[in-house]
Parts: sequence; structure tokens; C-alpha cells
Amino acid sequence: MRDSREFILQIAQLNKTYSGNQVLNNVNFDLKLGEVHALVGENGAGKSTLIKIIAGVEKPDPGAEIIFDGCPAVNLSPSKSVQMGISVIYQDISLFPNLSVAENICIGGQKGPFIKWQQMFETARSALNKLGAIDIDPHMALGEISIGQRQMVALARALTHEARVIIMDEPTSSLSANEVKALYNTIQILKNENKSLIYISHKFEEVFRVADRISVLRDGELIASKDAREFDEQSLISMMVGREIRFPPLHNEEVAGKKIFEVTGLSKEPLFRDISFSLYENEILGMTGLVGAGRSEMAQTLFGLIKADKGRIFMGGKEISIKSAVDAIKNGICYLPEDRRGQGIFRIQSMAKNITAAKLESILNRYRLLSRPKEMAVSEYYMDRLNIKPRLPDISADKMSGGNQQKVLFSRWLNARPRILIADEPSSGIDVATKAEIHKLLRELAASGVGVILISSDLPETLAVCDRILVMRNGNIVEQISSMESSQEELIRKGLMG
Amino acid sequence: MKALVSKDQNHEMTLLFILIVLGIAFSIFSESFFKIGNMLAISAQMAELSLLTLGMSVCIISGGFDLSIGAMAGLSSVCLAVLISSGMDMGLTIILVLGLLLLCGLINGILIGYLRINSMLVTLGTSSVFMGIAIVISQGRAISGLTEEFAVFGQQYLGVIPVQTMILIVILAFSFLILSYSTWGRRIYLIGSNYEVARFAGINCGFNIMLVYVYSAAMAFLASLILTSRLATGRADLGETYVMQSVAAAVFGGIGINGGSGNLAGAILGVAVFVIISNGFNMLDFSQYAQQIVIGSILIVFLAYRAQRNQE
Repeated sequence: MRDSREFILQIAQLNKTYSGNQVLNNVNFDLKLGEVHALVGENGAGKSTLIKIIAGVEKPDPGAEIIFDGCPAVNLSPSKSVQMGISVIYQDISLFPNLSVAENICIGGQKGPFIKWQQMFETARSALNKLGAIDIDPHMALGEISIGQRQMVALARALTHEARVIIMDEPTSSLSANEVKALYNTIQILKNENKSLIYISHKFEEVFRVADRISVLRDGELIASKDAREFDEQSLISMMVGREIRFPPLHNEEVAGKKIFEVTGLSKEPLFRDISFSLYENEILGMTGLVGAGRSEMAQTLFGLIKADKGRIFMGGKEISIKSAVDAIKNGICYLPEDRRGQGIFRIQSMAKNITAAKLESILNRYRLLSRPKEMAVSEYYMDRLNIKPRLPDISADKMSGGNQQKVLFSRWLNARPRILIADEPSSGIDVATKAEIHKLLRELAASGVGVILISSDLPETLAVCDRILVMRNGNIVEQISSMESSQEELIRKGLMG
Repeated sequence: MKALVSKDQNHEMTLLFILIVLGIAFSIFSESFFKIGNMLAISAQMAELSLLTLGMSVCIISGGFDLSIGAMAGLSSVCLAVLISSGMDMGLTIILVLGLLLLCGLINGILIGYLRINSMLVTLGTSSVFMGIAIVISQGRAISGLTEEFAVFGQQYLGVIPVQTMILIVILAFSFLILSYSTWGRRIYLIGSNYEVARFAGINCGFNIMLVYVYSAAMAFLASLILTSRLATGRADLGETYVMQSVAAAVFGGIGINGGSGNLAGAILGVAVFVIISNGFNMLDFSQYAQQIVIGSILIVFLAYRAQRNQE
């Protein structure tokens, strides 16, 4: 072993098998004192499993060697790993929204049977100050502050509990640009404190910005672990997916066809107002805007989950009335929600049941009862078509990676025979390869006559995929841009900022 | 991978194993236990709790509870006894009382499914209302004077098989079919696994949940029909002891308490274990209280074992 003082964490010969499926294969990973080590890889590459093992949530297969601060760490459990100074900040920051910021920071750390309130607020204040988060009031309830601020609270918590290794899983996925900047500063502060960070992200720009070293996982194997300066974006992508991937523009070259869908004057105060737009055959309509611009709410109104105050909806020239999601599906309007875990996937149910959920009529036999052979056939058809692997319809959905879950959701809506498919942030938290597959799928759908509305905050994605782009701000459509225009990117930025 | 898929089956195998062990143990200590007559008696004893457990299981699978099944059974029992003893035609009485209970279920269902009030609170409230009505009607007394004809549901045999066993078999087959193979059954599982996700999958949650409570009311009616007939009296409180027992049996039978998982075969095996323990202990002349201690302990040990296994 190398000099143990340089490394806070060393992992050797790490294997992990879930019921016969090898998800980590002889992984060797180490983390130096005071470094930011980025961990990249596609969904299902094994990043989460590696993190869970370090956090003590999952047990490695026998034979693995984990050395923390020079001492072998055996039989890790979640509490033991916290004690040793390992702190994980998960994507959906697991804190208590009803408690104050100070309580969230200090909980579990104070000694004695009583809470020392004064001391608690002081500790919280000083930890937040140290991170440069002077604008956060420790008395506020956590639920009242923004996601970015909650992240700061989670970091302050790690600092207060004397964490030595901080693991961040997709920390920027719901942050605004300013919050991301603040996070970069905080990371620098943590580094100066000689903390070690493991940073998981799908965004390369970010990885290159913060990481000292980068490790690439692919199919459970550690492909490379090198100084960040030795990588560039292309080489990183090709290592992750094992081949070169680019996002070619996928525009529809032909002039817009006939109008298939139209919305006029759709309003729901205070979420959005006076939304009017049309959708043409073979077109992908983009909808972009900042978080809270009202895009998802507008989509959920079209899908019948929110009742509009006023407005009219036309399908193929005929006015339709949508009072519920059942009406929406009947009319061929399908909505793929943004929050995969909270609104999309039935986690404890099988992939097959997830796929057929929105259209059980598609798997009925002649007695109007569910037919298992039909359900298998439908599921396998979509698993083949969307390249969902492993192709085992009976596996419960929470055993699958995020990318596969997203494909399952696409399958669900394809099976519902959409005339209009609204995909809300379909590629968030998804690896590059799956992202490209989803883009291709959207284009194929549009070509086959389905009206596609893509809601996305990812500008390169919007520009690459959409034929026309609507920009929403504070519940209004403020800009309509065609892909033919030259300065679209600038127009969008202008629209976003106002 | 195979292990993941067949976890449910494993659970039923464990229950079956417990049943067999209990059966062998009781046969050793009591000669009369393993006789056809006693087996049929056990199946008859199972009927009431099984029917209520079916109702409770479907509620739990959908992500709720129905604490009013006892009160509904009591109300139904009192109404059956009052109407029949006053000379009303049995067929008509059954239709009327069934209608009344379906209405009770509909009220629960609308409050829970459409108004989205917590099922435990709703049924706690309606339970008090139904029970109150039953006590007012019966003036707090046991009502006798039921006809000979009415004894068919709880005291008579079809060949050698008790009538209530036949009712149970038919209802069990029917319930199994609709829960596993109807769109309603599937939607109940989906809603129970995650209400919000079900809503976003375009499932009409309100309507499907409402039907759950109508179904459980129907089960309460059938259970009370058998009970009232067997005891030859109508009593407001005759269902109360079954409420918690049905929750225990359902959970013991593998119905996940958080909704969305488990199946009716397991729930019925759960009932069978409880009833066999009770029957076997009666044969050995153990007290009722000892039975309760044993049943409670088995339940706790079993849940602990399962929790342990799920962690692995």
C-alpha cells in the first residue's frame, strides 16, 4: 500500500453482486486528503452502489479491502461510517423540512439529554458563515429555504459533524446558476479545510470545473482514474460509454405540416396565464424557462391534473374538454412527469406493471381480464424497442437504473398511443448515451405523427432537438423562436432573464 | 434475479410450513384434531374472519384501512335480526340489508376516495356512527327470534361441507380473480404502491378507491350474515373483535402494511394459522387468554423474522 497519510480512503478489490448480477467488478478506488475526486459514469455504471458501500448502506462481497485513514474498516454500517467522518449528501437532500436550519445542522451532534438551543444556533451560524452562506437564517424552517440553500445546510451539517469525507451526488441538478457559483466557492472552502470530496455529476462542465481527479466507471468497472487535466470532454464521454457520442442537431428539415394541436388563452392563476400556442405535424416544440416558470403546471393542466381557470384546447381542429387525466389519455394527451421517483415510477412494482399501467386495456383478453402473456409481450416489445436491459419484465423497477426507469416511462406512454406527448425534463439525471437515445426516440415519434412537446431547462438539448422553442417566464410565454433563426441562443437567454 | 421475483411465493411457503408444523403438533397431542370432521369445522370457523380479512386486505393493498368493518357487521346483524324476526321475507331482507351496507361502504369510499380524507380517520368516525345506529335499533340488546330458514348460512351443510365454507370458497375465488386479473384489482395495487404516481399515470384514483370500501362493506355483510345465522341472534357488537384480528391476519399473511403488495392467498393462509391455533388449543383445553398470548407472540416473531430477512 502507498503512504497512507496521503490517502484518507483506499478501496481495493471491491466486488458487489446483487442476486447474481455483478454491479461492481474488482474496483480499486482511492481518495486523497483535501482533493475533489469526481466520479463519472452512465446510469447503472455502479456509482451509486460504490457510494452506498462507502456510506455503509450496502455490504460489499467478501474479499474487499477498505482502508479509512490508515485503518481497515470492516463491517461498515451507516452509523459507523458517519462516526468515522463520512458524510453523504444525496440528490434529494435527506433533511427534515419541518425543523429549523439550526436543528438540521446540529441534530445528533449534541451531547446530553437536553437540547442547548443557544449553543445550537451559534454552532449553526458559525458553520454557515464558514461556508460563506451568510444569507441563511438558522431560525428558518428548512422547508422555507431554496434547494441551493438546503444544500449549504447539508454541507454545514457535514462540517459541524466533523466529516472528513463528503460525498455529493448530483449536487447541482436543481440549482440556479448563482447557487451553482456559490457551491463552487464552498467546495473551495472545504478543500482549504483539508476535507476530501467525492463529486458525482453528469455535467462535464462542472466536473472539469471542480475536480482534481476524475474516475470513470463503466459497467461496474473502474475504467480510468487520472488527474482531471489529462481528460477532455470527448475523451471522458467515450470512456464512459465506450464509444464516441455527439449530439447532432435533429431538426425536421421540412416546412411545418398541418396544425394538430392548439391551445388558446389557457390560464390558471397564479401559476400561468394566457398561454396560446400551436403544434404542427412532425414538429418537436420546445418549452424552456427557469424553475418555477409555470411549464410543468401548464403541462399538468393539459393532462387534466390541474383545473384551468379558462382557455380552450383543440385537437386536430376539434375542441376537446379535459377534466381529468382519464379524459386526457382518452384524447391521446400523455404527460411524462419531471419527478421520476415521486410521480413517474411505481418503485415496488415490476417493470411490466409499470409499462402497462396507463393503458391496461392493451393487455385484456376476450373476457376483459388481464392477460399475463399479453402483458409480457407488450413489455418485451417495448424493452426491445427502447433497449432496456436486462430484459426481465418481472424485475421490480427500483432495481433498475434511472435511465432504464425513464425508458420504462416512455414505454408506458408509447403503449398508451399518444397523439400528443409532453415530456417534462426527460433527460435530467440521465447518462449521455440514454439521453441521445431519448432524443432519437422523440424525433422518431414526431416523424410518425405524434406531436411532441419537450420541456427542458437544458439549453444545448433544447437547441439540438426542438424545431420551435417557447420561452416561459413567470407563467407567461415571453418568446417564440424557430430553429431557423440565427441567434436563438441569445434570444432564449434574453427571454429567461427578462 | 429469481429470488427477487419469487419473494411473494416464498412468503406463502413459509406460512404453509407453519401450518403443517402446527397441524402435526396438534395431531400428536390431540387425537381428534386431524379428523375430516374437525378440518371441516376449522374451515367453517375460518369463514367469518376470512371474509372480513379479505375486505381489510384489499383496503390495505390500496393504501388505506377500514376500521368500520366491525361496526358495519354489527349494523347488518341487527338489521337482519330485526327485519326477519318481524316477519319480513328472508330474500327481501338480505337484499335490503346488503343495500344498506353497500351504502355505508359508498359513504366511506366517497370520503376517502374523492375527498381524500385519511382512511383511518374516516372509518373511525363512520364506525362510531354505524355502531351508534345499530345500538339505537337494537336498544343495546341481543335480538333473537330468527327463523329456522335463516339458519342455513351458519349452521347447515351442503352434503358434508358447511354452508359458510361454500360461501367462503366462492367469494375467495371471485376476489382472487378480480384482484389479480381485473383492471380494478391492478389499479388498486398501483394506487397502493404510490398514490401520486398512479395519479400521474392517468388512473382514476377516486373511483377505484371508492370501490375498495364498497367491496369491504360487502365482505362485512357476508361475515355478519354467517355470524348472525350461526349465533341465531343479532348483536350490534358482534363484529368488533374481528377488526384488529383481520389487520393482524392480513399482515401475517404478507399484505404489506404500506400498500401495494401481498396477495389474498397469503391473507387466507394467515387466517388459517390463527384459526388452527385457536382450534387446536380448544381441543387441548387451553384458555382463550393463553391462545391470545400465543397468537400475538407468533405474529411478532414472524414479523421480526420477515423484517430481518428483508434487510438482507
